Parts: sequence; structure tokens; C-alpha cells
Amino acid sequence: MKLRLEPVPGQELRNILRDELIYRNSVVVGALGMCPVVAVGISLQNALLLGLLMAILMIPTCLFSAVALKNVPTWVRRPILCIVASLLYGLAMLLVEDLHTGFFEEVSLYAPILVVSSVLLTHADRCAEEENFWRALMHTIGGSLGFLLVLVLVGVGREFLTFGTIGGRKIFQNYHTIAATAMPFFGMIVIGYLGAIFKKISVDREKKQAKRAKRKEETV
Amino acid sequence: MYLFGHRGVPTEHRKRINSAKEPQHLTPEEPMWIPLRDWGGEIDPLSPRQDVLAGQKIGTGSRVGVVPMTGIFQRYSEVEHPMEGHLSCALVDGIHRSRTVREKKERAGFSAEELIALARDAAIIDEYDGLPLYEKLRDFLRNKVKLLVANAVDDEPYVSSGISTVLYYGKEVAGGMELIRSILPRSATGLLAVFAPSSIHGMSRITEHKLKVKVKKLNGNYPLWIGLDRWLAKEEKTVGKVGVQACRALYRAAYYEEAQTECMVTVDGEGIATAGNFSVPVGMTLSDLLQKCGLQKNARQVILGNPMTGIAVTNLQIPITQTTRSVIVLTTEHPGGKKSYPCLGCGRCNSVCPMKLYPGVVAKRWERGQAKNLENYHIEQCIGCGCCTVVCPAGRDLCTMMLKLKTNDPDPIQLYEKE
Amino acid sequence: MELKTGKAPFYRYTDTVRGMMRNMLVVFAAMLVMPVIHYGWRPVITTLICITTCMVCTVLFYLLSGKEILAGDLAFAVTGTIIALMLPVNVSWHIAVIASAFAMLIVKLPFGGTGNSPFNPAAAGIAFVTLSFPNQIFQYYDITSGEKLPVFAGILDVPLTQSPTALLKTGARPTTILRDMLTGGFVGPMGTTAILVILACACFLILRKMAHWETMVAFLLGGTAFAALFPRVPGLSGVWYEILTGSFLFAAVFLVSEPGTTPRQKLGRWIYGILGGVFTMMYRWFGAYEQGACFAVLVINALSPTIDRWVWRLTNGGFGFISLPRKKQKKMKKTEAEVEQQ
Repeated sequence: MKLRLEPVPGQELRNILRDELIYRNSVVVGALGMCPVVAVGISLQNALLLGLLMAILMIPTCLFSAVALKNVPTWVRRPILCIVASLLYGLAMLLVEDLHTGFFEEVSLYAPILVVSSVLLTHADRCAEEENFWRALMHTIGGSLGFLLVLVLVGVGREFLTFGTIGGRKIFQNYHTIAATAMPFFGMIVIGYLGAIFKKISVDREKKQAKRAKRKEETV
Repeated sequence: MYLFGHRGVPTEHRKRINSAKEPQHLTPEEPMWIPLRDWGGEIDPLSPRQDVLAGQKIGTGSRVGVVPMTGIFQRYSEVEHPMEGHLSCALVDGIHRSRTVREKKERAGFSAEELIALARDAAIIDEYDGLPLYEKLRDFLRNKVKLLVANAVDDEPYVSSGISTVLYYGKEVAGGMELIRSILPRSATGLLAVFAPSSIHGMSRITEHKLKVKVKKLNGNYPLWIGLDRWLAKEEKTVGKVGVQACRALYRAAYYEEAQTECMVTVDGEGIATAGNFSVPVGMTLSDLLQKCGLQKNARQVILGNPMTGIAVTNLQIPITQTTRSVIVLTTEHPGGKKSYPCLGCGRCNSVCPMKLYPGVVAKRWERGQAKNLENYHIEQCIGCGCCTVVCPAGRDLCTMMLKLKTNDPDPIQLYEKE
Repeated sequence: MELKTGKAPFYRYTDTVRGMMRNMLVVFAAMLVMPVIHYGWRPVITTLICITTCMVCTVLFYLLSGKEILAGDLAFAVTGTIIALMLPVNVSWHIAVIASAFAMLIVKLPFGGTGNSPFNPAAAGIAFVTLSFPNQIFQYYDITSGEKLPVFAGILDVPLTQSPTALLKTGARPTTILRDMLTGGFVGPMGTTAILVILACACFLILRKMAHWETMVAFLLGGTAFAALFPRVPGLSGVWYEILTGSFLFAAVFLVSEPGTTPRQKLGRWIYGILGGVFTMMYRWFGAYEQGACFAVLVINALSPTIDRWVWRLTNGGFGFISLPRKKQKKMKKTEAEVEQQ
């Protein structure tokens, strides 16, 4: 299988992006890579920085997988991917540390975990089986954006419930800090609620499509 | 005391038997619809306005019925009976009020063929399962029944017709049992199973010594016959069940040369002025019976059969047949009135099921659309007693759901009564 | 005279859902009597706040999900009252609101409402606020200080003291007389101090068939056995202190016996209760907080389906090495054959 560079219609690329973001989101619908979201997705700042970190790790690794690891069996491909990602980690660390010092001490274990995150590995596997370069690129960008989207939703929600702030700015004056919403179990609960919302969006869309198909049948 | 758990639904407080008075014999005032059944053999049809005598066999073709009281035959017709289905009837009116009293004739023993022919001639139907007695006797002989059980287990609310038959005509019932036992294999024994709660007086009359037949008095919750079946299974003998009214009818056929023209019916409920057990001629219409027993104006539901497994009827122009053991008239509509709620998870249905099944769990799984692989819950053992529906505080019809799931009924299941 | 048709069975018990809930509210009215006598009208206000929060959450949830509002069975009032009774009387009202909102919006309503929630919502609500505000949950108004407890203030500034369970955790013997404890003469969560009232309510619930007695007795037995075998304070009075202080007795009567979360089989309920009692005492011994009934209840709620499944397998064929004696199995098979013949 060779990687081809044929142009792909824009509508298809948009569909891929939309699927990755909403209808087949890796975290909420695929239940992948929940660990960093649940553990340290407790503020908007954490969310954005982790998302950036994930993007820096994911996009080059997946493109590398699409280009060079096509005919390699899975059990060989995955360790190679992890090594590539960890090589990138050093670069990413410098970048992110520049943006906010002290970030890596805050998140301790959960940033390096992104190197072996199932989100990254699953997308890399899919890119390895993808024939077209642009589609692979869109999958990757969509995947990292989807991860970022969930992180932001969870982070903003939990920051608001825990501290009453969004992005560090206070919304209410006398907010009593709730310590329990910063704990991992509440992250799972928030992901559960997000899953319900995303599922409702999916189901509504399916209903609309079914109605449209029925109407087409009736007119024909 | 329920604290230490009895399964099933207690019903003994709803039985009213006046043990001082013999059950009243009723005479019809409206025209009678005498049911005609297939007994084999041919009979010539009657012409309209022909006089018929008590005990006379009338019918058309192979369908034959016995006239309970002297009257004038009018015509043949068809009736949709809720329990019997499509029934051919002979309409007889102008009933004479007198009853003939016959004398007992001494007879030597009967052979098997003689007894079976007698049962067929007397048109005896077993009141519990609706089968002709002669067919049942044939089956008993074929299966070599070793234990004959006469069934007077009236464990449903209100019903007490079997118990009355045993209380007042116990000797005749025992005589009938003895007749049947005489044609069974030599080691066969008879057993009279009767529901005998302490609230019914006069149960002390029913003893083995007085009736000369083994008596088993049962007490407990509906459905009691589960306990009886489990006890019988321990005996490890082939069991043959027969109703007590059929036994009595066989005795009277043998020694009084009477056909089965009367049946014992319990008429009870809040919508009846004079409740109790009555000896009703077969063919008397339901409306006539209810008028005689004082049907109240505020009656809302008339139930043919017992309240647990009976049928609510709206057309009262149907005949009372041998399988009608009770008629209950209620003033509040059941099952309406209880507001429906989603399942509370209270678990009463699970603790009341006599077969130790879990209707509440099955209902929840069905509601979620996971009604497959239900053999793990032993649904095939459900007997349809209705106890789960009786106790549910949220008004859910679990019994019908269990039966429909058990038989894979294509009809849609409705857990709630839609108004 | 118009006759109606219908479906068998034409006989129903007169219990209704409304009636059952009314019984529960009678019980809670009884439970509120002693706190009002000791502390004034504030307990009633706190209870009303919890109930109102639960009701608002229920209505909001059903409106947002576009379904019919199923609040007629008053189950939100039951949950609200249990939450209020487990909080200290001097609790700030935002804590009560947070506990009720968590209980309804996250533990009860998304799973389908009454009867469908796998976890006890009241226990979950209390556990949530214990994790968030531990110092406010375990500090109680000092009734001997003489300062009056204001009725309508949101956040209070009154002298506080510790409950006997805190003393037990440090290994010291509490100073309350056991006789006083029967009528609630010691500090603790609002509804858990009047021991006699709790026992009377337990009898009422059992007799009205609202709760299974096996779960309550098993829970008490499990906890008592653990407390007797590993006492923190020596002597029989040590065991009494363990049982009567804190929310252990309250949890046994109101939290553990909720019929929607207990296993369906009798043996299962015994195992469930005993495990719950043991876990509560273990949480007290080794846990971070002085009381652990709520956490233990949540743990055994999670184990409830597994207990059910194992007990079912045990009584229906058994595992490889544990099974029923041969005779009983034969009898069960025979009854099935009998039923099939019919």
C-alpha cells in the first residue's frame, strides 16, 4: 500500500473533521484516553495546555505512521510509535513549559502518559491503513481537536464547579470551593453526561436522516 | 404473620359460608338456556312448544343436554359463553316450580364399563377442568392411577362452592370417590383435599372417621394447589384429580338415577345482597341468578369464575354451566382505580411469587428491551396465578407479561391499563 | 347499571405508591420531633430546603430531557429528608443544597428515577459533601454552651464541638452516659441521635412492609461483630458506643433497607447487610473520616448485583465445589416435572 497525494473533495474532509469532533469522538464516544481528562482536566488552562501537548505529539507521529509504517504488523508498529512520540515529547515539553512554567509539576504523571495514550495509538493505526495523505492528515487533526474539545468542556465545567472561576476569572464573589468535584470520580461523571449529550446529537441526526430518506422514497 | 414470609396471597377472610343452613336450591324464573354438548350418539330434535320433563334428554344431532326442571321447549340457539366458547343451547321456559325428590336405590358393584357408561349417560362434567367425567375415568384406567384426589381446594377469594359441597354432601362425595376407586387398580387409595381455614365453622364435620375416606385439610395462601402438588409429588404415585361436585353427581347417578342437572355456585361480592352458596340448575341464566341473589344497583363488574383467573362479563344472558363455580359481583372496577407509576423497586412481586420467580426483574429487563435469554429466570415455571399483579402498588400487570413472555405470544405486552 | 370489562386478576391489595410514600413521610415527621425539641426550628427549615432542592432538580431534569414529570410519588421528599437528617444541625445551607442536588441530578434521575438507581442517592449526597467539606460536616453545635441557635441564618457562627465518634477515633472513651443516648442527649448528625425513635421507626417500616428486616438485622450484626472483635475502647460499653454513635444505626434503618438497591434474594440480603456492617466499621477504623456508613453503603450497593448473581448460581446448580445437597436438587427437579405435566 502506498500513500497517495491525490486531492480529496473538501466536503469529505469536513465530514471527517465533524465525525472526529462529534459523532465519533475518541474520548466520549470511543471511551479512549480518559485518564488524563479525568485526572487533571480540572481547569481551562490545564485543558488547553494538555490539548496542545497532545496535538504536538499526535500529528507528527500519525503522519510518520501513515508514511513509513504501512506494512508493519501492529505489534511492531505500536512500540515504534511510542518511541517516536517520546522523542517528540522533549520538544513539546520545552514549548509548553515556555507558555506556562510549573505546568509539568502540576500535572506530574499525566502529561507523559499522553505518549502511550490510546487516542494517539488508535489514530496512528488508522492512519497506517489510510491510503490518502490528506485524509490521514484530517483524521489526525480531527482526533487531536476532538481530544481538545472534550478536555476543554470537562475542564471548564469542573473548574466552574470547584472554584467558581473560568480561566482564572471569578464569576461569583462568595463561591465556596467544592473539593470533591476536582477528584477523578467526578471527571467520570462529567464524561458520562457529555456522552449522553453527544449521543443525543447523534440520535437526532439519525432521525433526521431517516426522515429525509423516507421523504425521498415517497417522492420517487 | 407475614413478618416471616409466606408466599402467595392470603384469601381466607373473604369466604362466607353459613354452615347452619343447607345451600338454597334456586328455581329459575327467566327462560333457561340448557347447554348441549357432544356425548356421542344421535338424538332426534324437538319441535317448538313441546313439553319437556325433568331429567329428559334433549338435543339435536349428537349434541345432548339434560333438562333440570319440567318446562316447555322453545327453540335451539347458539351462545358465546366466555368460559365455554361457542355453545349450542336449548331455550326452555315455563318452568314448573316443583322439584322431584328421588329415592335411593340399592345397587351392587359396578364394573368399569358400566361406570363409564353411567357417567356418560348422566352427562357429568368435572367442574375444575371442564372435561367430561367419562373421559377422565377412561384416562384414569389407561394411566393406572393409584391415588385419586378429590379437589375441594377453593383457595381463591370468595369461592367456597367445593367446600360447601363437602360440608353438606360429604357422604355423597365420599360415595362417589369410592365408586371411582372401585374401578381403579386394587392398591388405589382416595384422598379428599379440602381448603379448611379456621374461619369456616363446621370444618370439624369433615373427618376421615365420618366420611370413611382419607381427608387432607389444607390451609395457607393462594395458590394453595402448588403446595398440594408438591406434597403429591412426594407420594410417588400416579395421581388422578377429580372435582367433588363430579364425584357427588356420579354417586347420585349411580344410586338415585339422576343426571347432573345442578351445580353449586358461590355468589358473592359487594354488589350482592344475599351472598352464599346456591344449588343452581344448569342452564339458568346469569341475570336470573343475580336477580335472585339481590344484584345491587351500584354493581360495576360481574366476574364469571374466581377473581384471580376469571372473566368479567357484560352480557348477562349466558347460561350457568357445570364449570361455573362462582360468580362475583364487584362495586368498584378492577383493576382500574390504582394510579399507574413506574416500578418502585419495592420487590413485593419477587417475594410473593409462589414459584420463587422474579417478575419484577423480568419486567425491568423487558422494559429496557433486553427480553432475551430469560430461561435463566425460569419463566417456563410461571403458573399464571396473578399474585404479582395483586401486590404491585404501582398497578403493573406483571402476570400477563410473564405468561406472554413464557409462551412467546406475538400480542404486544401492556404493563399498564391505558385509559 | 353499566357493567365494565377488565383483565384478571380482579383483586388488588390496597397499597398504593402514594400510600407507601405517605408512610415514609409519617416516619420522617416522627424523626424530626426530637431534633426540634433539642435544637428548635432549624432542623425543619433545613429539611424543607433539602426537599425543595430535590423537587426543583427533579422538575428541571424532566423538563430538560423532554419527558413527563414523574414527581407524583413524592420520592424526592424521602431523599431530601434523609439527606437533611444526616447533616449536622448547624450545617450551612449551601452544603445542604449541594448534597441534595448531587443526589438527585447525578445519582438518581439519570438512572431512571425511583427504583432504578443502583446507588442510594442520599448516601451518595452525604458522601459527596463529606469529601468536599469535611470540617463542616463533623463539627456539631455545642448545646451546652448556652448560645441560641439562629433559625434562619445561612451560615452560622456558633460554638462547635466534636461528636463521640471523633473521640472514639482517637481511642478515647466518650463521656456521654448510655442512658442519655437513647433520647438523643449527645451531639451527632441531626436525625441520628434519638436512638429510641430510630428503633420505633424501624419497627414501623418492617410492619408496613416498606423495608426488609433481614437487611437491617444483618447490617447491625455485621457491625456489632466487628466492633466486638476489634474494640477501640475496651469493655461492653465500648461496643455500645460504637453502635449508638454516628450514623451507623440510622444507615441500618434508612439507607441499607431501601428496597431498590438491595439484592432480591433472602440469602443475598443477609450477605449484603453483613458486608455493609463490616465495611462501616472498617471505614471507621482505617478511613480518613470518623464516620463511614455512607461510603460503606455505596460500596455494597455496587456489589449488590454481583451478590445476587452468585447467590442465584449457588441455589441453582452451584459452582464446581459448592453446591446444594443432592436431595434438595432432586426435589426441585421433580416439582418442575410436575409443573410441566400440567
